[in-house]
Amino acid sequence: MAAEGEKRGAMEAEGAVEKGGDVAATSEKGEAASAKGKGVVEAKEVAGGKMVILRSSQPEKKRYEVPEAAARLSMLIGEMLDGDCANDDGIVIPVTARTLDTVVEYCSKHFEATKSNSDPFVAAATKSDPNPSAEASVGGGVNTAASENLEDWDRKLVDRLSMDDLYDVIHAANFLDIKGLLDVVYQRVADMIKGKTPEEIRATFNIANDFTLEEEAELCQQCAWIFDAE
Amino acid sequence: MAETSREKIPNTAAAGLTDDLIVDILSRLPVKSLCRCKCVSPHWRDLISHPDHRRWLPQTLAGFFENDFDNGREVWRFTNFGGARQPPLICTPFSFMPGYEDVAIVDACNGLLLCRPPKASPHHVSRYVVCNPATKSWVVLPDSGSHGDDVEDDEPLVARLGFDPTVSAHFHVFEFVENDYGTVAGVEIYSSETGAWSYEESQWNYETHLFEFSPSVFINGLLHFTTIQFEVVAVDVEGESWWVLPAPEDADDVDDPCNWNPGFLARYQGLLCYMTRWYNGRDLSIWVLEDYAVDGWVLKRQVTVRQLTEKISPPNGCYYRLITIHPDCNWITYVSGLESMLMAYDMDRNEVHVIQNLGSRGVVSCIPYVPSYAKSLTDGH
Repeated sequence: MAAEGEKRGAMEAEGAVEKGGDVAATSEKGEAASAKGKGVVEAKEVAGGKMVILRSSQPEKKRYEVPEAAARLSMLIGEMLDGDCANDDGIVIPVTARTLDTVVEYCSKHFEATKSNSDPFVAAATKSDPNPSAEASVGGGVNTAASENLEDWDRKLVDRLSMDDLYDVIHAANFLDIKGLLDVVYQRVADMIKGKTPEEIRATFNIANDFTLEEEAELCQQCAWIFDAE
Repeated sequence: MAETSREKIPNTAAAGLTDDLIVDILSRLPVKSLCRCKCVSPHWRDLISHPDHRRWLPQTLAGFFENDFDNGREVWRFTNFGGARQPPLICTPFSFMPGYEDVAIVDACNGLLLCRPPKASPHHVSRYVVCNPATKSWVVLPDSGSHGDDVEDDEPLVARLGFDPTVSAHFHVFEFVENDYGTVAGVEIYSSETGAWSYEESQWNYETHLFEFSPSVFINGLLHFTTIQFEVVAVDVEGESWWVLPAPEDADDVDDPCNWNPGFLARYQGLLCYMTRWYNGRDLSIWVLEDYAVDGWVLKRQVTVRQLTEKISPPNGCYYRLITIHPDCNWITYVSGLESMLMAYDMDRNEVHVIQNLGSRGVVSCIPYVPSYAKSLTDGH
């Protein structure tokens, strides 16, 4: 019975994806709704909202408990929560635990950051910061120094990923529709391209050189200047 | 599945990167890196040149519009930076502007062109057309009114274009109204946002005389000009902020003031650039403006007299004319000799390249062009 329940949860998650989050995805919606009701009752109330449960794909099905606001950084998860597509076992995300570790870390960190920004005591303390960049910030109340540290944190998060992990995070962030994380991973890939020769770029991304000799010569002539040092 | 990432197997996930993902990543690159990416694979090359993607990707100098006189008629052509190996990026005359196919090009700014009807047209002096030849959109401006009563005055006023797509989809046209002595009285500024002209009196020194034979540069929201008074002047799009900066050249450095011409302005690596004109025995100095304070000019490069005479100036030592510096790399373009060869000099490698022979009939203007594929002219026909 439990296994069936899990399977249904997974199917609903995938069904929601295929139909772009269409609430009427399955006929089991009624059962799922009541099952979710059970899950909500069991969920802990935490400052900042309910906790939601996410699970990675088979076989680990690793369990993550994250504040709802953090999970909603993913537009897709947001739609699924709105559409009652979770059961008491949580929402199954079809990515590996290794990838979901990074995604959850990102969402949790950014959720924490917005929390501290809206905290009046933290905001007041940072406003009196003599850091000139904080004073110069235009977005009233948002501490520029703190958001710069967040950028550094984001960069560190993706810098330590291997190429394969990076690709997995790109696909996950795309699938889950987490705009901020997409920006970070895309920028990381762009940084890997900067300063490299075409040959080096091919090696990094394992791309075959399909040019004919004539095409290659033609391009080199047109773009002679691009081979200067950056 | 987690275990496989640690094995050294060929990375197959890259193949899963969709075209949209790749274009998004490429759009974050500086333009030189993007050009290198064109050489990675035919697929990447095609992605970068695809009309649907170009609007997201940074562009660089594509070539030059230059004019020519054919039986007394002015004809404009486009020359690719890469020369004649490929067909010209832009077709002339501009068939996409019925009634205005044979316009004279006055200025180019970040992909837009400021044009006038040809000399033979009754509207040559008073009418402006702004177009984007890459997207084939265009708009005819209303009359500024600067030429109202004076029908004998058939000299067009100095006019320039200001457009910065990174800041706004709107453009501005600046038309400088002169006093009797050719000094600047004020400026008529057209805004594509309001669709109207407005006049502002000049706050530059009253004897400011713009040197119209140097390109102007629109950067940081300001239109910059050199003057014959050893200054660089600038005005913003509202006509409210008027700047006067000393040129990096000093009157005292000039041995022969009668043969001196103000420097050339250009956009170089994202900054305002001032290049001194060559004249006897002097290096070509290239300065950039790092800030608008008094000592804001920084000397970036110098091309020595020796390099000039060995490489740039033809063997018989006569004439060459600076066009511009490449915005993204250390190349200088110039027109050489009576034969009008369009050339490029690589400062890093001390090498000269021929771009194209422009023909010996004498080229008057050579306007650098960086395309823009963004949809910007909302009033386009």
